[in-house]
Amino acid sequence: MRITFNMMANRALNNMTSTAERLMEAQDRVSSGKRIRKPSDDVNGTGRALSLRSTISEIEQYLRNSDMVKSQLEVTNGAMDSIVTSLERVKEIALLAANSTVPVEARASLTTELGEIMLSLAAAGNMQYGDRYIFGGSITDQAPIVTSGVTMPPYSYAGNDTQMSVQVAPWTNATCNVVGSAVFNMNGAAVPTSPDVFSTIQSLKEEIEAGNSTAVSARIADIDANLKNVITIRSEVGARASRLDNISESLLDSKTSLSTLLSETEDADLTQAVLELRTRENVYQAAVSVAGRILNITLADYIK
Amino acid sequence: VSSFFGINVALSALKASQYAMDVTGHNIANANTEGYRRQEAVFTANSPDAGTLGTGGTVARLGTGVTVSEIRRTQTGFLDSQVRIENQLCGMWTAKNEALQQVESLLSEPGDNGISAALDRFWNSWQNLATSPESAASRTDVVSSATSLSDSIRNLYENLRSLQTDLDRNVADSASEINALVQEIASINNQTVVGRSGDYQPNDLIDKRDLLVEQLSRLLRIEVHGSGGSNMIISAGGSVLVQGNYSATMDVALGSNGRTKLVWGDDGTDVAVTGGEVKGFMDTRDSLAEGYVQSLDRITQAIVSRVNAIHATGFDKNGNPGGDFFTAGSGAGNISVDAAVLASPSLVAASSVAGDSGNNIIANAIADIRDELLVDSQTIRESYAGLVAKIGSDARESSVHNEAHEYSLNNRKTQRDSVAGVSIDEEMTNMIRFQQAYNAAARIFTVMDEMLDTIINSV
Repeated sequence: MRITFNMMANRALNNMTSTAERLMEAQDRVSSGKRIRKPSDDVNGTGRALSLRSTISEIEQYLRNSDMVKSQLEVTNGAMDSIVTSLERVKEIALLAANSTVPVEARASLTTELGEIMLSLAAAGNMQYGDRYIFGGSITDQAPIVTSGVTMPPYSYAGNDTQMSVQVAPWTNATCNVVGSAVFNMNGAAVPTSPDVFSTIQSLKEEIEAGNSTAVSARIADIDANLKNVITIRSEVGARASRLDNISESLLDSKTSLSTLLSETEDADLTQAVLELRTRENVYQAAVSVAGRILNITLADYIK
Repeated sequence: VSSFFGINVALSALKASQYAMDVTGHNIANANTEGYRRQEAVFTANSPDAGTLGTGGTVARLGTGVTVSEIRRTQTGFLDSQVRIENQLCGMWTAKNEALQQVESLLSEPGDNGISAALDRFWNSWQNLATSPESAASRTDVVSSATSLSDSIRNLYENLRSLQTDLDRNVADSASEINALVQEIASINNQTVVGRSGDYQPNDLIDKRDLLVEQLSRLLRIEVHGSGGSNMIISAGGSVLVQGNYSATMDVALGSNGRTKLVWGDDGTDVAVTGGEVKGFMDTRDSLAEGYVQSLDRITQAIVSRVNAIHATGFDKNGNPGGDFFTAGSGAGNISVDAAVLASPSLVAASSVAGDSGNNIIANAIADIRDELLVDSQTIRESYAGLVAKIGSDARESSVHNEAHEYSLNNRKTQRDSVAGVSIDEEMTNMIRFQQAYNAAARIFTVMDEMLDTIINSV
């Protein structure tokens, strides 16, 4: 083959250009740490990366949702604890008062205590998490337990029975509230056999004031029924919280493994990238030095 | 035979060697001239003299020296056509590749700043609102994530549209470039006709014309007929572009799609563009970029109409029925959060019951759109990922083709260079050869002179 000077020059130039291009690619990979910098670097990888990124971002939101629900459930649990304690005290008072030998003064102090307990139960029912009334169903901007203005029932329920839920995992919803009507049996559905908590206490108070120990004994069944209802709901709340913990934990696990997968898809293997950079640097140097050497020589150099 | 016969022979040799040396000089001078083909002085022995020498049947005739009968330009016809074929392919794929790389950089995918991430943030903000529907901050978050989603979609749309406009301009620029080249080719054709009749070999003009044809072939897929001399015909898309000294002109016109197209200057019919840069510009503009814009628009419309439909079934923080969340009927070019919602985020309808401040059913329903199959039985995310994959694979394809054709174009050019390029070594060798020939001829001259001297002075 006939070789001309321009052929050599062009070939050398092409080689230098293409090795320089490859060198720059390798440099980019090392300095950005990314294997995929644009979709055409790896079309399938890009698709996978987009989907992984989306899933990870979704999981992060689920985790935030879970945290939110968990804190609300914690506040709910605290309120339930105080409701249980109050009702247990009501039961003690009822047991005391059922004894016909209780003197009048002692009865008065018991009824006063019952009045206070009723106030503290109403306060627990109007417990807020942030600005939100947690026992009002979906009506969260006003107190759900309001004084009725009449003697019986002493309190009425201003909320609704809507259970609110948020997504805490793919296709998994968690209910974040407990409705006050169920806790205090104000819809009559929770404990059909008994009046609501406040009416029960109000009746007990009136019966103790009247010294009707028989009626007081009979009232204990209503108190028990309500207490049992509240305890059941409290344990449900606990169960919900621990289920959320499980869900969050498994979400965290999948987030970790998905992040690893994303990094494997998107990120450059640094050792390999640096090695590649080194190799390409050498190739480029070789190309340049060969070009420098060859392009200097023609026959003209040797003709006198 | 005259006594001075030998001197004339030597003279012809001196002249021929000098002539050849001049050609060598011309070659060296043009070693780096683009499109230059090596020239060669062709030596031919002169016709022998008519005299008779010798006896009997054998008539010896003396040779009468040498002339340079032709300065031959190295022919590269086949390789030229190979280069032209690769050139138009190269032009087409380079044009596509450059545009697509631009599109890819507009996407910024995969990353935290692309539409994909903005979509994720948008759906997440609705879930966030679902966890605290009373909160003003969550509503503001929904509105701001929707604004940034709208901005990134509009931004991509605008950029794709302005890419199309740039390509329009490129097509128009190519038209004037083509016209200029075609005119010049026709004018050189004309000169070569005159040159030929004046017994003149227009080697360098032909070089120049071939170079122009080659430049033309990068812009447009052309066919070159004829022997490549003055009877050359160049056609594009089945119509004559150049014939001898005739050249057609191209004009630009608006096509039915509102995009620039090429038409013939004489009758206004469309130029059938089948290759070259112009084809690359047009394909990228009309099928690739336009396709991306359409997909983006479809995805956007799906988001807008679905979000609005669900939003309208809800109630805002003030207990009023939900209005439009995004500006109704907007597509990728004008998607924006409804002005009223933008002004007052309390108009975001999260609740399914009027006045229920803690009701999150609508917020959840809108967040769930993420998993709905809205575009071609795909979710919004899948559909957008499909668009990204399409752009990625188009860019990949164009860069692979571009590289391959550039490689093979270089190969063809190298092959041609091997045949027709100037080799300094070769020219140096020739230089020595012709110098020695000249010296030898001069020597003959001296010897002849001495011989004549012997005769004249000895008598």
